[in-house]
Amino acid sequence: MKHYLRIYKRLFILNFSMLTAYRGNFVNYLISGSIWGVFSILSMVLITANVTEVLGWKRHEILVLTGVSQIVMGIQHMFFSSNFERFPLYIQQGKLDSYLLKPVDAQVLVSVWLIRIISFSRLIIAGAFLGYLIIAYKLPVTIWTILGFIPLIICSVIILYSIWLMVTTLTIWFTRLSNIPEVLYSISAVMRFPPEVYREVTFFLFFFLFPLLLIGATPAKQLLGQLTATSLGITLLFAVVLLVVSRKFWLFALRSYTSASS
Amino acid sequence: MRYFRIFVLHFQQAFENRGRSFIWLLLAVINPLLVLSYWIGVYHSQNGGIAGWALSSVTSYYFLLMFAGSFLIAHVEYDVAVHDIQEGGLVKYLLKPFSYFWYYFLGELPWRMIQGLFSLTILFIFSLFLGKFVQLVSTPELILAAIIISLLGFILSFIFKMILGFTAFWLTDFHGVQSIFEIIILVFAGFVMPLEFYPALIEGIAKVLPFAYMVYYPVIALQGKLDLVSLLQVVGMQLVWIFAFLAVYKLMWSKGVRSFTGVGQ
Repeated sequence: MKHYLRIYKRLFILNFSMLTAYRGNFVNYLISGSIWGVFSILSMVLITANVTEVLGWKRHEILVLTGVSQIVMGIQHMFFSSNFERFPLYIQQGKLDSYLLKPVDAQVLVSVWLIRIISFSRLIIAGAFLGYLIIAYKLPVTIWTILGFIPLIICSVIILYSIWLMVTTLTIWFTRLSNIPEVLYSISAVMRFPPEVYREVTFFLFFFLFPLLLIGATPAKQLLGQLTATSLGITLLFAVVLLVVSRKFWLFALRSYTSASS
Repeated sequence: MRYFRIFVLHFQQAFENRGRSFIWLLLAVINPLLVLSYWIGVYHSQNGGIAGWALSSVTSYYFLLMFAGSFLIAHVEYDVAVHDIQEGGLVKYLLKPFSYFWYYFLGELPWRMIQGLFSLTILFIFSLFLGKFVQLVSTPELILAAIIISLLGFILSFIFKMILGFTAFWLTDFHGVQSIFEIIILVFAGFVMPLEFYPALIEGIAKVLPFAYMVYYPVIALQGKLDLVSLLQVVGMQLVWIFAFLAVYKLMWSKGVRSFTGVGQ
């Protein structure tokens, strides 16, 4: 574990140097990242402008869900997204070899190699938005609420990471589908809306999207003081099961990796 | 003949990569379906429509938005800006005896056709099972006008994306500009929701900008929400924007190529 932490510290320093090496790029990425963060929130503000309640969720509760989803996505973007974007290229060009041959777990390396530190701006935007909602709507948030909220956010990130890993692992078999990570960005947006919305359309859709729906809804319920023991248990269960299953799936897929004349 | 050959070659390439096309199609389909699910929830939670739109109009709008997102929006800006201008690939086009504009236009068309065909299939399946939720234009003259508006929408988006790519002649990093315009298109072209659902100020701005003529108007024309006079007005505005963008395109191309340096090709 100590060994991995040392590697991660080194990776973090390298990523930070890369970020600050080109000031123009730094400013550019900061602006574009922040604009996406603001857009994700503003689009939900606009969509809910004419609405007071949707299937039991009041407008401000939907906006809390938006803020929480943005925090989870911000963490995902900061630590994992860039790595999953590059993963299909490792497979296509046979570069995975170099990770498999290193004396470190290959899944860890391909998942954490790149750190998009600039995405921290999205966390700040989402945090400020949640702070505003808590004050404006006088939500009963205490220090205990926050202490319960943080582990739930970690569970949500674990669920999201596991799903992204399983989907990108598919490119080991389907090497041409290098645009699969784009779908992950799209499909992850399901967590912006209340789960009941999908159940209203069809139970099949709700069932299919269920793990992704937990990601936003469970921490949001915690902030709103509406978390039940059942939702808590289900979220924890999904985090553990999906992490284990994605690991097994990754190891299984590696058996089919054929490299590419590297 | 050489342009036909370019089209055929790109069609073969797009068809060979139909798996990738299908994934791009999923992107165009997922977001409208998610937002539509939300609106179904909204309509089930309250009485009456929003901004005069019944639920069936909203469902038709988002179903057609899937088609519009996959067929009408060109995706050439990244190749133009990064592969051609920043990495110097433009050199090979400058030396060839054909127009850069038409090369890209005929290269983009097959991708849009294949993805458009996929999305039409999905639309057809939806209309089979959810007939009452899919309202489409029905009279022949309105159908013809809607098809013309859709084609002009594609041409408009194509020229705009080429112009966007050309900004790389003067900007060292294209990423920020691309992100900003991606968001502007999402909001003002009607991808987030029908323009009538916005607050009056944003709706007013959206209807003046060119982006609504790329997606929003083609979609409501295909829905049959516009009469013949409005359709002609939309075509007129699309032509105005196309000619304005063409003028900008020519200006940027002539100035940009002069400032372009291709190293190590």
